[in-house]
Amino acid sequence: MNKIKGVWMLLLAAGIMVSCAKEEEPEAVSPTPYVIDIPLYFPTQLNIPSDNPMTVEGVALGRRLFYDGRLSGRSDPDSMMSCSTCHLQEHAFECGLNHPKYTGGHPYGLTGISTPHTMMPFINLVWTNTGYLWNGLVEPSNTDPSKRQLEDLVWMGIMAPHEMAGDTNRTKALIQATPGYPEMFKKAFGSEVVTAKNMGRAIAQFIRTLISANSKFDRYLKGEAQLTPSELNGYVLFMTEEGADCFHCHGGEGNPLFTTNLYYNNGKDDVFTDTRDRYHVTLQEQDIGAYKAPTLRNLAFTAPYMHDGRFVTIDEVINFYSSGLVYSPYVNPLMHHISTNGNQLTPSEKVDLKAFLLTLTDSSFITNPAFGAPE
Amino acid sequence: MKNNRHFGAALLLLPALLLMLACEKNGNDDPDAGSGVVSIRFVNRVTSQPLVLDTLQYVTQSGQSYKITDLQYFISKITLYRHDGGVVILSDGDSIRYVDARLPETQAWDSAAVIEAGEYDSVAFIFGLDESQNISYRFPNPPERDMFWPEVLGGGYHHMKLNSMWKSCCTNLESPFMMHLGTGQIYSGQTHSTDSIIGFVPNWFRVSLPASSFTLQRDSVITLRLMMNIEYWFNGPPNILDLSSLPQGIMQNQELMAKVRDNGKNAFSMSHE
Repeated sequence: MNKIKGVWMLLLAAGIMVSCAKEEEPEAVSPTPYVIDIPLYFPTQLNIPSDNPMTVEGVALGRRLFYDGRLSGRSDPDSMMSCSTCHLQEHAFECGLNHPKYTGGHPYGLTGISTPHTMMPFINLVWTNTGYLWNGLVEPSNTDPSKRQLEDLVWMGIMAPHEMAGDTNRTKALIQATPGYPEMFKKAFGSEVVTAKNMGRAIAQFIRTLISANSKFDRYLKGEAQLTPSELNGYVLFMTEEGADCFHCHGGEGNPLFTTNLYYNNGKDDVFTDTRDRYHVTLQEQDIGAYKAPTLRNLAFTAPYMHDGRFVTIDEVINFYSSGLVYSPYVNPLMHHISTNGNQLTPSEKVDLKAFLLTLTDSSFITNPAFGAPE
Repeated sequence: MKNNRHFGAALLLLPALLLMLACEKNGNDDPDAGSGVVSIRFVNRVTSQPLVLDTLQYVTQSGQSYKITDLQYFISKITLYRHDGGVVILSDGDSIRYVDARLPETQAWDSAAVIEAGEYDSVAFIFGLDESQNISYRFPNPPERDMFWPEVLGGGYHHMKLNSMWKSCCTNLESPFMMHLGTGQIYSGQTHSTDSIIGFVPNWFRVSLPASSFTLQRDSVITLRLMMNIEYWFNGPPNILDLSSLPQGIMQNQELMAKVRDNGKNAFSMSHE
């Protein structure tokens, strides 16, 4: 009888042990892979880190976080700030000229400090593999491992004094305490515990879904639309060395991202005082005054232009490249019209070039509900 | 048990059999010749010294100081000519190599191809992409993607982008010169209006390297150093370029592209180690 009792005790203990062990193990989750359909002629190599594969659940979580003011670690409505406070879909995720708070396209953070540069659009960043920001500071070769990936950029935005001026613990606590989030984290990453790393991963996943590939020019390449004579003439100007020669830095039919994602001194200045140019990342002299060539997609929505927002209209940009270039020893040779201060376009050529640039407008990008705030 | 022994023997023989078949596939007529590996190094240099980018330290024959800021090009169909008449085109499924002076990883090609050992008389290659290879949209990814050549100017890809800045003795200002070689255009009129293009010139060329014989020993690796002597692009022979009298770019000037192309034919040499 004692023997039998002993066996039962053992079984009971074993049962408790198994039960406890089961509770401690993270529940296995199988997020649904998020598949990116690569548009015609777009790069086939995507910049998705192996430790942050895209999933439907991860993207959904990232989208919610992107639009959630608690990300700033504040709950007072006046102090809440999300990514979307500045990154507006209607402006291809820049703040635009007509932002109710950040006038002229120059955002500033919760503490009132202006961002050092104007914004870059969130367009097709899943194909960016040469660094983020105007100077490419956030790139795989950065010696600081916390500044290498899009995931890192998310947290830089949350912490930066000129952005959310946030605090990791406050943000985590607020998100953790918000109904629905723990379940979403569990579905995406297998644990209800909110971590900074997983927040960055989720938001980066969402940003990687922001693909623009449905402009009139895209449809033209597919044979689904016809450009007007003015647009076609502008296209030729864009693509020819003796024309406006935009394509060497900004791509074209062979590079439909409309940027090489590389860095150039494009002849804006002859005195260089910005400590956030490409030079201050690489310390290579040829990078003095150099900045990333931004995508020209959705140019109509992304004013102001250049790293410092010095141009408010597309016309001003075209005029600059036509007759406003300034010589310096650091100007890139691709600015080969430098000796004449620009490509000297005629008034009608300027009209045509602008007409072509506007064929890169993708209205479906700024109205796509999947990119907007979740309900 | 007996069957198992036979099975074991067959398993041991299988790799040897596969190896023999593989050698046959490589066209080895002499089963004793064996094979080796040919490794390529693309070396960019000026007056026999390794290229230093972004430094105004070179001088053209016309007396202009210049610096190179970018050098990117395609080399394809590297062909080895055997002493016995055999021909080998180096390929890893694709014979095209992209070389970029800023990207060290593009300057070495350790081809996986196993090459028949023996005497090789010469080496040749195509500079750029010939018509069978110069197909628009074939490279969707950088860095090769960024070599695309506008459709309106003939399409395909730049064979070479050589970007430079130069200055004459009497000024402090540097001027750009973009030596971009690709499909040239023939214009019906005097202007370079794309509406008047009536034909295209491919502008790739074949280079037969002088003094490029070598011996590939059995079971060994030989490294062929394929050297671009950049000054030849500017100085020729046959054409001496006076940068002060040239436009800043040549993409729409077939006459100039032809001169550059002809200079390029003499710009290469080879050594091996």
